[in-house]
Amino acid sequence: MILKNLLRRKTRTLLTLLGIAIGVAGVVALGAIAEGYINTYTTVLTSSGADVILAQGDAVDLLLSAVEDNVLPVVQNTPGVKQVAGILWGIFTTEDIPYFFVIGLDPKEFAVRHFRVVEGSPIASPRQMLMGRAAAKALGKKIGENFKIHEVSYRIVGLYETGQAIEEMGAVITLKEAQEVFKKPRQVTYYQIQVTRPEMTDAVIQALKRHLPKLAASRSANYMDDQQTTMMLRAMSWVISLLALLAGGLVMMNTMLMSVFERTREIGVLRAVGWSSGRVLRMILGEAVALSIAGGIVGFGIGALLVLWLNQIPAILGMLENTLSFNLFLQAMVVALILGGVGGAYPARRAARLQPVEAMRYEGGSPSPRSHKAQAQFSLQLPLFTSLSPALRNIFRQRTRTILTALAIGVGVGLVVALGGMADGFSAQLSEMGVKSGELTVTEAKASDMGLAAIDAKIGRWIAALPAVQSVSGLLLNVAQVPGTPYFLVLGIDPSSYALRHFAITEGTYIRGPREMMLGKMTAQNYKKRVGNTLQVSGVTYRVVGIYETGVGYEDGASVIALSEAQALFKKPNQVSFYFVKLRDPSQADVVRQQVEARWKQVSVSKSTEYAEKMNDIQVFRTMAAALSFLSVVIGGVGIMNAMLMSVFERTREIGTLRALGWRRRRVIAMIVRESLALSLVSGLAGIGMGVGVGWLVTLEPTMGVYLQGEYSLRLFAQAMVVALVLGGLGALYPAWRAANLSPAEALRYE
Amino acid sequence: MEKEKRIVVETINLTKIYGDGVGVRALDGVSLTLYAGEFVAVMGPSGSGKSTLLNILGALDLPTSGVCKVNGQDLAKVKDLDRFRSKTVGFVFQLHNLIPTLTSIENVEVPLQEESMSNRARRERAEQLLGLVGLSPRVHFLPGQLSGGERQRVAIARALANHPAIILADEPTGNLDSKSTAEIMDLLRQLNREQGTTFIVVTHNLAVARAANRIVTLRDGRVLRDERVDNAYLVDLKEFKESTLGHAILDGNVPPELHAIGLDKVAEQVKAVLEKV
Repeated sequence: MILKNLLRRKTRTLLTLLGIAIGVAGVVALGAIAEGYINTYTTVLTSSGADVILAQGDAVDLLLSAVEDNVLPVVQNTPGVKQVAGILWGIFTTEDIPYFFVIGLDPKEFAVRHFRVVEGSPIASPRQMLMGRAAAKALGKKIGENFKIHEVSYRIVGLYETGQAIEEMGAVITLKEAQEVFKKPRQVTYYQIQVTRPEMTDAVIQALKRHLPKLAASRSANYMDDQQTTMMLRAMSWVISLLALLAGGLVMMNTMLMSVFERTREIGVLRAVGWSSGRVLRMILGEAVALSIAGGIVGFGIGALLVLWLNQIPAILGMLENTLSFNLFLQAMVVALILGGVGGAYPARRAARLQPVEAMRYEGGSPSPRSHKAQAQFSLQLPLFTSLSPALRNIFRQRTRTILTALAIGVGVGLVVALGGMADGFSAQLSEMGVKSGELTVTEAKASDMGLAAIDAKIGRWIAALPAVQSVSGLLLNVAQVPGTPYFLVLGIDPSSYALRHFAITEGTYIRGPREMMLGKMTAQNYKKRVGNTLQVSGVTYRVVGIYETGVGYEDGASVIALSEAQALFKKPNQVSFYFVKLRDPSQADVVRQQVEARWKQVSVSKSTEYAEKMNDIQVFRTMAAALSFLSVVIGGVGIMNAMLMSVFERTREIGTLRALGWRRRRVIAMIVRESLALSLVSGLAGIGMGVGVGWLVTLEPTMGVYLQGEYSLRLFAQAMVVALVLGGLGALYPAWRAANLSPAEALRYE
Repeated sequence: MEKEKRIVVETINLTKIYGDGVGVRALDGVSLTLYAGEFVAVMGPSGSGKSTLLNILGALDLPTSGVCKVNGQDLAKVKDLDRFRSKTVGFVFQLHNLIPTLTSIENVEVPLQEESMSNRARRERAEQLLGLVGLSPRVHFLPGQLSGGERQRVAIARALANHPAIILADEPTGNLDSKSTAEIMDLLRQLNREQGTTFIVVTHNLAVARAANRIVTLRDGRVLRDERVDNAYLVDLKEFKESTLGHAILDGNVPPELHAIGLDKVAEQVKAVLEKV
């Protein structure tokens, strides 16, 4: 019976199924991405043969960890340690591979054995390189050829395989050369430690923690579990999945509600022949659950295909290998079941509470009262009803459905607005930071992300010497960890530089010397610090000498220390993330840009108003936002199509009448499309409200909120409305086509 | 009959079969000629083909075979059926079929929307029509705020909107009480008389048929009877002739129960009258 009921409205069932399936597919794909990321790193850490990993205690990402090699003797002398191998990971972007990993290893140590040379020979002398088989293939490189990393040329002597795409999409050079080329002298990303006997592992970890309290030692298999990134990734995947599911759930509820309304009379008959209300409840719930299980299975399928397809993209680095587990399938099914249960509960309750006698008297498939009295009442409730355009009147006729549909579309549009606003805000803040410090901004040409960007100080000095340049301010931007919070943004700026001047001091003074720090207004509030207090950042204690306010969230939620101190703290000697260039004559901007870019290939120069948009960070965020928005927008589209289709079904006789009165097909089409557009217009407005609301809620989050100040422009709202209207237009096409092709005589007979 | 007898509907051997192969013969060779200004009632039991005939005349449905000409146009050759419907015929349905979200006047404007006329002209025309059916005070009411009779008046005004050659009404009083029924029939008769509108009304209510000046009776898709009614009371007599008692009297078997009121005494005279009807 359940199945038959579902098959009665095939199109609607299919659309609902699709809505749920897309939501579930989102859960599956995002879950797989999060797990894939974690698995990949865990495998990289464990397959090298290391038992213990020693990394920076507060690294945001494993690959951003930095450990100085002066700890090596301590590690080597720890009882139970058999061998130690330092490894330095460097990332840079090539044209074909967005994240190209360069692994620096001592060719004599045990860790290098993990890179199995399948062709050619191991590294024997300087300027030699082993390249991953996959990378060689992608770049079209062969043994004997040369490969350049940041202007340094290496000869490829061998190709290796490790079974890990992330490693095979990279290259191995000696640790010493890696430290030079990535400007990280005497530094490794982490140490890989082998113990003498497996039982010794815990003892070694305890000893390392005691002797090196600033570093983090953990079992290689457990390292990722302790990471902030892991938690954030999992949390993010859940939040986004929840949104997708919310939209799917709304579509579901809509469908079941429509189904109950349509069958009011039927349900009355069932009750009259002796069915209990509990039985009716179970029937409707059963339909909802059956639908959601089917949606879950289809969704898992779509998600799995998506994951397989994503895994082909070079930037994914094969991280999604083997992530489609039975666990993930169960997770998808649980999610689908919850969807069915929650989406079906209200309609089922409504069905169960129908009075048999009234239900049997019920006319037509719509919930809007058609009886004389109720209709009059309905119109009286809305005295302005007749002042609305006919299209708007029709969407007000089905208030529950309109609200549900508007919410489903609203979630999608809201996501477009919230994420778009965040991206715009992020970009605007970065631009503002640059604009206040100079007309031009110099960035590393191939930086994969801001945190990794590094420009050598000599380039800054060279630019400063140009006649057209008034001053150059270097900025080193980095994220440190302060106990209790995941993110603490530190800006390293030279105390004498022009860029520091736009930090308006509201309390205390500017930084002048070592161990001094200025806090942004928001930071000071969040950490409850005042001038004179101290703050420990990555193990170094700073005295707060001033509080500033710039009006840029990114700055007000950060802290400022002297550039030289930041370089030492983050182990980036003689490096900055950006240079802001102040010109004597702004009209010289293009000339200076060409000069700098001609001399230094590794940097790119942009107007300060534009540089943010060109950065990989923003582009990655925008791509991600677009993908997510697309996902939820598709669900919204399915929702609106479903709603319009229902509307057409319900009004079959009405449409028959219009056709009998001489209305042409195109007029009927125009009517349905107009209604759909009106519905999407309302939904779009709701979505904008929801998006701005969510964006605002995010800013309330104490640690991250301040960096996520959204920027909501008219352009963004217009964009959201266009998305909603396009959805409305597209979603209406099929229902309108159906309406137009109804045979008038049959439509008039329709009950 | 008298004066100019312009033909508005002409059907020759009209047949409609629903379903494939041995389907249901809803119409089985119906040939009719209807004239301008006539008020035709189509009667017959359920399933006799009344609604099918009406649908075909209104170009809502196509015949399986046979010719159907309305207002001189052969429907098989009309390319733009939408235009035909909006210009040539007007519909009045049993369930008023007004659009519930539109006010009276907006409902009347619906068939005018395919016309190239200004919004103002359209509104004026709709107001005038609502005045004609006596609903001027209710122009801005929604159907839900109107009584059944009032809704049907709006539907009639809507059917008149484009000066159609014929108005097709399918059980126009089927959902009304007897008082409203009488009012609506009076209105239709008045429109027929004063405006010269041609009406084809499908009904099985004799009180409705009494308003007509011609009654076509269908049975099993064929024309059983087609007669002019100059005197409305003749209709009552015909109905009586068709009734069980009428048959009994014609057969000369007056039921004994009726002897008490003396029917047996006048049975021969009544029989003679009925035979003339």
